[in-house]
Amino acid sequence: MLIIANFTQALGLTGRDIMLKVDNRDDGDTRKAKMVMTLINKVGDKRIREVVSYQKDYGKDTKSIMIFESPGDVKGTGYLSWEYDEQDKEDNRWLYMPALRKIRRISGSSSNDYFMGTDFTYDDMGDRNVDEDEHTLLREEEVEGYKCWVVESIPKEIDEGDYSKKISWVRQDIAMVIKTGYYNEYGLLKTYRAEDIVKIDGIWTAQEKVMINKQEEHQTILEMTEIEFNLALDDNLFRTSTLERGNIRY
Amino acid sequence: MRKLIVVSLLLVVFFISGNGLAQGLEFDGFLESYYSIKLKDDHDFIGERSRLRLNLRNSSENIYMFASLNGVSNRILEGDELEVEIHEAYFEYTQPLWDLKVGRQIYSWGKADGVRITDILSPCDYSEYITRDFDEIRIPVDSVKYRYLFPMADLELVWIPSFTEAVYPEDDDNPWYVERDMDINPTEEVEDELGNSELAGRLSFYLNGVDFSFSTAYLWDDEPAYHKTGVNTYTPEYHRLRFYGLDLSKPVNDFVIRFESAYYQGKYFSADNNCGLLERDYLHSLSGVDWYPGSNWTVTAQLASKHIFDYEDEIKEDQNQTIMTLNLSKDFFRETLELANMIYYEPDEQDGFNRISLDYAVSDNLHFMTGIDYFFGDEGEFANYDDNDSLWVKVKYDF
Repeated sequence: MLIIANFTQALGLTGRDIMLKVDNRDDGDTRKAKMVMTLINKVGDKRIREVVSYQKDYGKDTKSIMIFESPGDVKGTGYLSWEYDEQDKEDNRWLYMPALRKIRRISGSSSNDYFMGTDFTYDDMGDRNVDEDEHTLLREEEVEGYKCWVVESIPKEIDEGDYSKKISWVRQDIAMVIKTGYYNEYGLLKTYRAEDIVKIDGIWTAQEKVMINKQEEHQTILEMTEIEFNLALDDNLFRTSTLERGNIRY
Repeated sequence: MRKLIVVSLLLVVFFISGNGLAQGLEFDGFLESYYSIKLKDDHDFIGERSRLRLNLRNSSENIYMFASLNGVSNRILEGDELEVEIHEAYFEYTQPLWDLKVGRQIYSWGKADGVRITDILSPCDYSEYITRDFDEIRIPVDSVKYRYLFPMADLELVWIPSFTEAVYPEDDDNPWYVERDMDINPTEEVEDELGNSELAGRLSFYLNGVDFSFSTAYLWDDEPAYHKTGVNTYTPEYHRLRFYGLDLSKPVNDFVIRFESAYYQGKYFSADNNCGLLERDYLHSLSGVDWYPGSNWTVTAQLASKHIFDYEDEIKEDQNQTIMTLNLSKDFFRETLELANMIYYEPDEQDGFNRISLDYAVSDNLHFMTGIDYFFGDEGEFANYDDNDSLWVKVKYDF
């Protein structure tokens, strides 16, 4: 452990450096996946959502589209977002409600609300600019046989509903966050774990993501299947017109 | 019988094409039952209907076929009769920069909620006034829609070859029927010919920080004009209408600002004169704001106004009319429970409609809904339904 600590010190890595490594980690220029979201409440009741998702990076910005395939009451609901890395630039978000046949522009700033009843907020689902937080390397630790950096991240500006801090375990070999603790004013709010980490198309990815809300005794398991990276995705896929089409076609 | 044949043919087409198209045939739908009792007077049932919806889908890379069938039993309006009908049925062909949708389909234009400014391509079924869901109120129209995707905008062109009328309560067996103090002849129908087609176009921009669109249409007014053809006798007749519209939606922090306006040409207004009508142009506009303050709250407020140009006192409607809407909703327990309060209010007449509702997701597939519909006021459109305050329940199973 001493040798590892000295090696990291010798590299001069700061908390920010490590989170930049995470942010710059190769996750493909495009991504496609089918997601099964299992929502479990404190008595063990399960609700399941199936979603197909496409993402494309434009430099540091990302456009993504998600269409719900089940259950029946949300089938066809579509969510389109254009997320910007620039802190002062508001994200663009649209929601398609099939029952109303309408595309609705939604506020890009309500990022602390939970996404479709899951334990992931809109912010969790997206990408946060590294410099929105102050990062501090706390220590190094071994998790499930992998050497990890443990980094504390505190928002530079805290809005209502924001986390007061996050503590992330970053696997050193692949610069991936494999565990996170989210804290609010009452203490530990929820924990995140990345599981079933494999290499697909040359890119490390977690096929299962688990978010456990300690305070509300609720958890969400996100299982990813049919994952593809760097496939050719037309820019026109990330337009509102796609939300109205019967099937996502590309 | 004819309907049954058409529905059967549709199912056969889907099953045959199911083998030819890559995705294969998929189906889903729902079964729902709705009951509503009056809060006043005799506490009779005012709504008693069940609906089975079956959606069929089939697709390949560039082709998408969709059909939805309704089986409806409405005891209040139709007795014990079960009606089977095609709700929507269309074929969609897609290319990267354009798509074509042919068949029976629903249109929903504009940025307004519950107020139709430019959103008039699909007529409405007002058999039970506005108490039904949007999905039930909108009448799909047989049409062709072509859409071209420019880099920054979508251009939509619509051709509706034959006119579809709005549906209104026909007699006082329907608790939503409003008595007219006049004798009414059968409606002069619009002939089914090419020259009576409806045309519409819309250019929409969905950009960084703002959405807006321009629209226009040459169509038939869904609402017939009542021509005075006798001392107290009127003949309803449909007339052409043209509109030029624009709408806009812009997010600002926790808010989304919406605006919509349409200039209508050729509207026939009821009037106290020899022919019972005056043709005038009018402007219909709406401003709205959506507020997402967090914690799963949504607050939507709208103010709509109508102004008749070259007004004359013999026109029965007021020159300027205003309606306000307010919708509050909050989700609880991870969006398994939604409480909502929707209000329509006409400040000039001081009448309105208020719906308080609860929607509980018993499971992913089963929803239980209940609410109260309350009409208030002594004058105005909503005041007509003052006796129809009701308590309702609905159960919906999705499959």
